[in-house]
Amino acid sequence: MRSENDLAERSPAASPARRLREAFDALIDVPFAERSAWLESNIADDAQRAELAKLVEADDARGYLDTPVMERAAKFAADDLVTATLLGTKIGAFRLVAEIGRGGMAAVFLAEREGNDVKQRVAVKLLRRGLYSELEQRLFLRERQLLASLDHPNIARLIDAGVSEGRIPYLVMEYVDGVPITDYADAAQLDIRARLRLVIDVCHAVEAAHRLLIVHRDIKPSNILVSRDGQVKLLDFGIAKLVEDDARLATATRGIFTPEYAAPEQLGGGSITTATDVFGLGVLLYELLSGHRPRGTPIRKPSSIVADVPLSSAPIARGSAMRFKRQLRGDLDNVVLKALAEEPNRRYASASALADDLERYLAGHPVAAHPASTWYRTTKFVRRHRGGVVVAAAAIIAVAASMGLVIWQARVAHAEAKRASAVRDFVESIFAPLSNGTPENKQPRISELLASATDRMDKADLDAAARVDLLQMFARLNEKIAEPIKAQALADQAYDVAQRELGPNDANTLDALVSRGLIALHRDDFDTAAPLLEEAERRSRQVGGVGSSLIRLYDGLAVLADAKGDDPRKAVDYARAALAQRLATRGDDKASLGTGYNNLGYGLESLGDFAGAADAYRAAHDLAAATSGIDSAETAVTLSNLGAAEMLAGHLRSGRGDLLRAKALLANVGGKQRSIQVANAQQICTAQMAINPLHAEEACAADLRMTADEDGDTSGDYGLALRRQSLLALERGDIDASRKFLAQAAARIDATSNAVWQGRVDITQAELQLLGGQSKDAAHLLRRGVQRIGGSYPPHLRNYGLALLALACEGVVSDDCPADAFTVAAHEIDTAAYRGSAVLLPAQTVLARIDLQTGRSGAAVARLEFATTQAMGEMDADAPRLLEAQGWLARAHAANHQCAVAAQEFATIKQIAATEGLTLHPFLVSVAGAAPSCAR
Amino acid sequence: MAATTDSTGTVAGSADALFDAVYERLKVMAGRQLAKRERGTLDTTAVVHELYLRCKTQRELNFSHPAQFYAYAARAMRHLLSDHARDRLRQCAGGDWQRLTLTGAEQHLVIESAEQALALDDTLRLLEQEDERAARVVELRYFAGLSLEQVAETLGLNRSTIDRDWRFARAYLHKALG
Repeated sequence: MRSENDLAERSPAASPARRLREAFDALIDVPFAERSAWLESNIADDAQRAELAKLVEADDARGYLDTPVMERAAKFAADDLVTATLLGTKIGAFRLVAEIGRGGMAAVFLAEREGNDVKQRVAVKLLRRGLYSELEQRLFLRERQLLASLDHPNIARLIDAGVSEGRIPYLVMEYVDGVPITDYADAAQLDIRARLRLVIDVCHAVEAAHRLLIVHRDIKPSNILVSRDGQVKLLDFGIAKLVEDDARLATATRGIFTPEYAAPEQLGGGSITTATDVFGLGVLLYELLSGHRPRGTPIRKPSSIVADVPLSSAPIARGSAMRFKRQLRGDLDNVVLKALAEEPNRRYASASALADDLERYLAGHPVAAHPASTWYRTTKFVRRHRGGVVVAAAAIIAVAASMGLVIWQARVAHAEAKRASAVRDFVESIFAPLSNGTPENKQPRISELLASATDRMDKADLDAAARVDLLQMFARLNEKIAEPIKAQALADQAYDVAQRELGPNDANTLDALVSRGLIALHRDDFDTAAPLLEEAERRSRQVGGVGSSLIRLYDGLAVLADAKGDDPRKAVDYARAALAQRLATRGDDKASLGTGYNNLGYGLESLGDFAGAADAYRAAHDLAAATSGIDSAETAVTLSNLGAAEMLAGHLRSGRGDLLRAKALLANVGGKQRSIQVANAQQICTAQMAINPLHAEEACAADLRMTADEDGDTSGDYGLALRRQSLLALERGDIDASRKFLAQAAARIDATSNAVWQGRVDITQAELQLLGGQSKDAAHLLRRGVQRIGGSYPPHLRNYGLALLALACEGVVSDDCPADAFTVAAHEIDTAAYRGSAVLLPAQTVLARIDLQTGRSGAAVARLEFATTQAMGEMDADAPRLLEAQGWLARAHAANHQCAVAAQEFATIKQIAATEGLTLHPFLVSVAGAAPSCAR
Repeated sequence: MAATTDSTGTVAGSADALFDAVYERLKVMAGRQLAKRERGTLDTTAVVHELYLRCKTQRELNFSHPAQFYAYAARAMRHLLSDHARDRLRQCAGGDWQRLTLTGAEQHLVIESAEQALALDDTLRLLEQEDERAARVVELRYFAGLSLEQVAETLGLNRSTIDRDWRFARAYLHKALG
């Protein structure tokens, strides 16, 4: 009687649902036999009692949820459905006249529009699936709009699409009266050249769709009809996507989707790109040339197939088998196999590139497809220009990478073949001054070639896209020869041309926008770079982007996120996105992957995953060494990055080793790598200081000198170098010198308005104050410093700040002291990805001191044993930080009643301190003075 | 960073694109499993985990946390079941397509199964209003195929809390579905 009231009283605002749940929870704890009694006495309301009884009954019984969802779905999954007689009914404005095709995903009808005098004949495709979710409707409409915009003489037009009154989604397409392309070619007894011409037409049509980012996905002879007058028409463009899941289902169940035509990535569930259609075109070509679909791995050359099959089944039955074989062998075999490459990035970059190569074959020119295509092109080039090229080989090599990129981009951007060759011609003309047999010492410099090329470009007959590409190439080259201002101006110009001539949604415009942002970024002009790159990202989301643009965009965004330091995870996400994009578009292009890994390493470093970062840098280094050579700038840079990451991961010695190796490499690379040399020198100072500040004077003096030379002695960077001097003095025990350097550092860093740098000064300042016993001021500085540093790189500074804050706040009540200062610091340090790193030793020491102060000697022992073990092999035995930690460990042992251990440790520390003259070192006076009394 | 989840794993509004992508991929993978069903058993967990691994290794989709992924995958699987059910009902009954190959009894089973699936969705929606967390547990447990232990981890709650949520939700749904 009263209990229901009790429930209600316990939670007066509880809803009926809440009460039901509470009663259920209580009831299931009641033994089965006592349940009805419980219900009687606890639930007054009859209806509710009945409901609860049913609930516990359902609780005991099997039911719907005991059968897995997939089994449920199977009960009404794909089954064989056939059409009823739909003939004569109307779909939209069209009456269905005859069924002309049927598949698992759709049935196709010939239909006519009535009225007027002219009967319009169309093909109506009825889809099997409904479009219930908003998502599907949205996708369907979006696709429909996209397909409707596809207007090409060789592509069957989409006339209408919608959902019928009977709620069947339908598509109305141009009706094509023709036969499949293979049948046509055989019936008309076309020779190889005529067949190639047909395929070239198909390629151009596919290319036109690709420019709208529409992928066919299902290119096969039955989808390519040829009308009586010989015109090619592609059917069903983009339709496969509309019905994708059913199409894939069909692959496995009904076989209507001929697996021989599917690209490897379709069968394997990989991502479908324009390269998928290039594969489809390859299959088509193969079949048209050999009469067979490609089979097996690796796919056999078409020429070898022709000889194997009886003549009657060969497509060109009346010709001589030997002649076809000869014609196919070599270049044409290579073209087909390149289109059919298993990895998408090894195929032709676009349908037009395939068409381009077929044209070249027809014209008797060398084709691009070749087992060693890059080398092949270069040797031909050299052969034609022998003389000039030989002496200018060095200049060629310097520019070849950029040239290759431009040509590659011209293809990937789905430009007309014409455009690609116009660019090629122009780029070749840049080298014209080199090819006249001019003596080597009178050869023009690269900067002169570039300047004259830029001038001449206005007069050259190039379309807007090509101009944009070239301007960007010039911008990049100017960056390479250290002309950043010229580079920026050229990039701006490229963007202006693209925006004006191609419009804001063009892939080239996006690429130019990315270039502008990147060049600003390379100049460390983040305020200019950020809005440009963010705008580019927005646009790329709206209009998509070419792989190479996206790679550069994500690279830039990763660097930017890293530089801003407010969200390190973002940097990693972007770096991963760039790496994924690289793998997707360039596959095992080592140079590009190397950059990807290097950037990923940066991101992981920002997150504090130094071990992961080191792995990434190691990969980048190996790739750089393999592509650019062991003594290249790239190799040196990655090595320097690797060294810094290893150091932070706690591998101080191998880190220093790599930094020193990078230093040696950079000294040989020379010239333009000055800023990298300086950064490397700064890292060497830091590494040496961590290993042993007593022997870091030379390394840190070099750091200070080089930073002054590079950035000027009033710069913020110089301020940071001065702060390192302050730290060095502090670690060597010279408090006065440390203060002096820090004041000089602060003056420069305060002028920069860089909060992170200011935060670092705050923390060092506070540490100095704490050594002088001023804990209250220190707390204020530390809280501010930690806030200023935020999540910036490297994270161990923030952790040290947090630990010092906890120390300063121990037993102090102040606005600057959070109540949980120690918990926060301990949590961050104990859960850091680099918890075991030697760079955390000072922070661990501070935490252990607090443990000791608060009577947790066991915790202090554990913490310091862990930290000193990690640091021992990495730091020199006489490094004051290590001695300090060992001193506190001895104290902790003493407090923990481990007297013998403590005494032994004190003796060792005292001896080392005495030998090295460190007895009065401020780190050690408090710990190593006299051994505290210890009693078991 | 297309999407975020709040502390309870609720899918936030800005996440359309990411959800769409998960839905599309799940649909393909579930379809493939269903197509092969004669040869092997159907395994919800395997489908969802395969999708998770693919998202992780291909890095096409960026989830800030596995919990976010599973919330999306569960929701997607739920949509998928209902969408399939609606398709089948339309094809079997009112639409212009007819099934000729199935016997009456088979057809009855198909219709009943589809109707049950829709009823589950409706009831789950009621449960959402009464006990949202319990409904979420059903999504993760039933639709994403997570173990209760994993559900607890994903939602950041005690195992015992999750056990009770599941028990209540299961009883609630079974009672309603008969």
